[in-house]
Amino acid sequence: MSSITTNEAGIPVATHPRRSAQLAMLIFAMIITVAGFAQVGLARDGHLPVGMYGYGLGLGLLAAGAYFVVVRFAPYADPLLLPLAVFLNGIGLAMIYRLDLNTSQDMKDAIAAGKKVVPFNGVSTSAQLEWTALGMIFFVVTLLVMRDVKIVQRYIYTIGALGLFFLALPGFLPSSISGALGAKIWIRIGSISIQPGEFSKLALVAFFAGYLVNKRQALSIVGKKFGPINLPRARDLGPILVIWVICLGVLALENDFGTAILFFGLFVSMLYIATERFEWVAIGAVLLACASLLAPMIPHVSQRISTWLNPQPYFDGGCRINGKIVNQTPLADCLHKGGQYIADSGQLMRGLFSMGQGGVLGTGLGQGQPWRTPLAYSDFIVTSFGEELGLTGLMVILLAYALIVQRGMKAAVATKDNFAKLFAGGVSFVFALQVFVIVGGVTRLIPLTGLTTPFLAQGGSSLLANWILIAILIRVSDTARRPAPQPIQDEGMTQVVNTA
Amino acid sequence: MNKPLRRVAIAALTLLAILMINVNYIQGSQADKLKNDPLNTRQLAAQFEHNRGPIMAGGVTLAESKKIAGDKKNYQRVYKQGELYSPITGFVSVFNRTGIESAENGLLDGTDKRLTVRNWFDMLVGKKPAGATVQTTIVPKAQQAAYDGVKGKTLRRGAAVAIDVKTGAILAMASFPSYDTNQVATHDSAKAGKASSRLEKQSGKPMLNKAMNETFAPGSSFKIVDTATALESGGMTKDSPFNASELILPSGHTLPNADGDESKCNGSIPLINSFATSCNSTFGRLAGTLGQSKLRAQAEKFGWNAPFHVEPGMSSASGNFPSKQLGGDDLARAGIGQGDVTATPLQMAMVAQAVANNGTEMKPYLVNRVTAPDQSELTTAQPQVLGHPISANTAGQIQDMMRQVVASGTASSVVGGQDIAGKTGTAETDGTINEDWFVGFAPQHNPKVAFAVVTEGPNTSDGAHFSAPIALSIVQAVR
Repeated sequence: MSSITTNEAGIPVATHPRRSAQLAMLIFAMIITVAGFAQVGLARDGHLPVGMYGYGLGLGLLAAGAYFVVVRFAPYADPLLLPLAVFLNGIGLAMIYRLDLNTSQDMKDAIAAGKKVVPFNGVSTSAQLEWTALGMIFFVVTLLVMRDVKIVQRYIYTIGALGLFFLALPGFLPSSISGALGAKIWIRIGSISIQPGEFSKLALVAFFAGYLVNKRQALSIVGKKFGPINLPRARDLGPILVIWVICLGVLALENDFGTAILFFGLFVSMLYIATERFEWVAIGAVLLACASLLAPMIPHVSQRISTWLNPQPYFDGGCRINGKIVNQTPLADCLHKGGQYIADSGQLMRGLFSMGQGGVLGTGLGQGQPWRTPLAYSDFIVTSFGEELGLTGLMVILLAYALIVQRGMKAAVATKDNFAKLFAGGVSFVFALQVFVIVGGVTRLIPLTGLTTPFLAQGGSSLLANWILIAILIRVSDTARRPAPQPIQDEGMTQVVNTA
Repeated sequence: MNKPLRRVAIAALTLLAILMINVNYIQGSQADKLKNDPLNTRQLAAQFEHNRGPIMAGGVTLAESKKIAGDKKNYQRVYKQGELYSPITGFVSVFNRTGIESAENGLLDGTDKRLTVRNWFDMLVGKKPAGATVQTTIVPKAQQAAYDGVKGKTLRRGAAVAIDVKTGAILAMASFPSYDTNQVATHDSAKAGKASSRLEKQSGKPMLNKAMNETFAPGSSFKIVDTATALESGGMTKDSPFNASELILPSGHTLPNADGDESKCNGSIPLINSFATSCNSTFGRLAGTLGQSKLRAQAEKFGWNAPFHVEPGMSSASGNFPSKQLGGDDLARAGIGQGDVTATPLQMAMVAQAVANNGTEMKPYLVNRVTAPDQSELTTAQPQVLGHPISANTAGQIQDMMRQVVASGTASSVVGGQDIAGKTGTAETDGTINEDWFVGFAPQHNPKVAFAVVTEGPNTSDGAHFSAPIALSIVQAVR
């Protein structure tokens, strides 16, 4: 019997559970992760690391738990999504382990020998594993609660309001609670810091999907015609303008143009999907162009743009003296000479040097010096991978991201329900856009902004949000691929009365 | 909604494809550029992790890398007799590299492709390849004789260079004052920085290689170049009579000869006699007769006015022969190697080498052989002809004249009877210090070593007494 059939929309789908495929891929992802840990230990300390067993077992158990929940509660789901997420989460954990000197034998020896040791602040493997565990629990809970994505549709206005609230909140909080590195996108309570934007992202996708499903008819109505271009009615421009203003507000209040681009791109793409009218993309592009003219008026944004265009003079601190940017490392020197401190491209350039060092094959895990780049374990984790796993490793990681996006989009195309379509499509697109903005930023393709690298970077909010995102895609793909309930066997037969 | 959904999917995947193209560009084609970016301090910081190969001279190890106690990763570069060999080895420090350490860096630290390709298995398992061994052309005994001689005699600065006549190999290259390369090679960047800034302020510039990166007034040793010009393009021979009487300059001043030479430098005498006695009157006059352009052309054939590389990245300063039109007085002074004319000791040694090698000038070099850790040969020096500044005939005549200097001329009282030939030079500088030269070759027939020695003595000193004995001890050490 062929396992491939087509659903009502004519999309080929597998209609039986792919348990063994999923399990095999999951085991493969775990093998890569454990091998990563082993290599770090061998290269750095000369023996298999103790952490390999603990962290490997921990992640393995979590993955196994997630697998059984998927098999039981979303049996028809795409078999690649969970293994891809576990793979990315796993190698991210291995890299954080590699950068976390608390796990290094060298450092333990140094401490034992009574040397003064300044540990690398901020990076913590155990915290990341705890967040991973919490992330997978969120994943499971999402799958269990959201037995059908339509449940979400009932609460879209509540969800949307919460999303907006949390998005805007850090902007109104004092910088001592919300600010770091120029952007105000955190909420810090005690030792825990949350990036609410990560969750707002998902909430707003849900809201947009629900809103647009309701309004798509109205938004599709043609207003004025300019030659071949059919403009929408003027009064329908409201929502896109509101979102545009909100994004500009985020930009101005939180100094975070990564998030602004993310939300705006998301809304425009969903508007396009819902209305099937390309004009919305054109209008979005015009608004984006206006915003990009306004954005450089914000100092934080203009700094990022200048360091992106020409980073050399800003290495370790650029100083403007008499209209010229000069490299002036100590800030005091710059001010003393009557200059104005502009920005620092040291991190960006060190990240590029890190990638250059890696070349095509990389130095090997544990054998490079990715720690030379500030935040090598979070914002710049991609350059750390670039150094130690090389171009080869980065291509694998980017392909894994691309596969998640492709699988998500496939689920969106395959599902019948319009809300689920928009929801899954939006979620997949925002995932791709986020990867583009952060990876493009650290590789100097676009100006650098502080978005998180999904699954790889150290950070709780990002992990939780992305595990929920995978749960949503798994749920949609399960619904899409689940065979329609078969009518009771051939009703006609029962009516045949044999009178013979 | 599937049509726009598919388009959005394509757009999303295009974004990821752009990222892939970009990382390919960065790591595939820009990697080397990024590695060598001047702002990138990684290579300098990582250099101590390499087990650099040794730098050798004969059987003597000039520089080697040693494990640091309690440090699994790094090696300390250790220089033997740093003051003696600093002009050759240079150093590797936290800040920079000089000398052979810089010229042969890739082979020494094992990152050169010729080493990494054969160590591809090591590369695969992440093991750093060991560096190659650099064998220099230096003869340790001659180097010691050169340094000790200069150090013992000079008041201020000094240098000595000895070259193999046939190949151009540098056999000795000493510079004084010198410095201990170990002081700047320490990994403690504060200490290294302090040491180098102290050395930079010190008089005599210890870190400057006086043998090839400092120029001096060549004085009468420049008369070799005058003679070469006269023989090559002035239609003269060593026996041509030429007026040696007192020279009154256009300004009315006389160009003085050395005390006691007035009787010898008188009337029309053979050029060889003027050369042996070093008559300023003759050569001042000769410069005017030959003209500035002919003199400059000959000097440039020997190598003046153009810097060159002894080894990659190890460039020699260029001697100066002025191209702007000189007045009569200045041209006469140029003829006796004073005024605007300057030369490095290496340049003067090259002149002597060309004369001794029958007119063929060889390119000086310092690295004789480089061998991989498995003893296989990576490179062997190939002697290169730099040019033919003079004919064999001219060279032979100048050899005769330089032998005459030792037999009966200015150097006869000091090294007379020794198997050496040369030209003395004594240049007055500021009235208190004379630059004392001896430039020549040995043995007198079938010469093997060419040399130039310069020391700075009091205003009563001269090249014969101050520098000729040093030259003699160098050539005796080579034999």
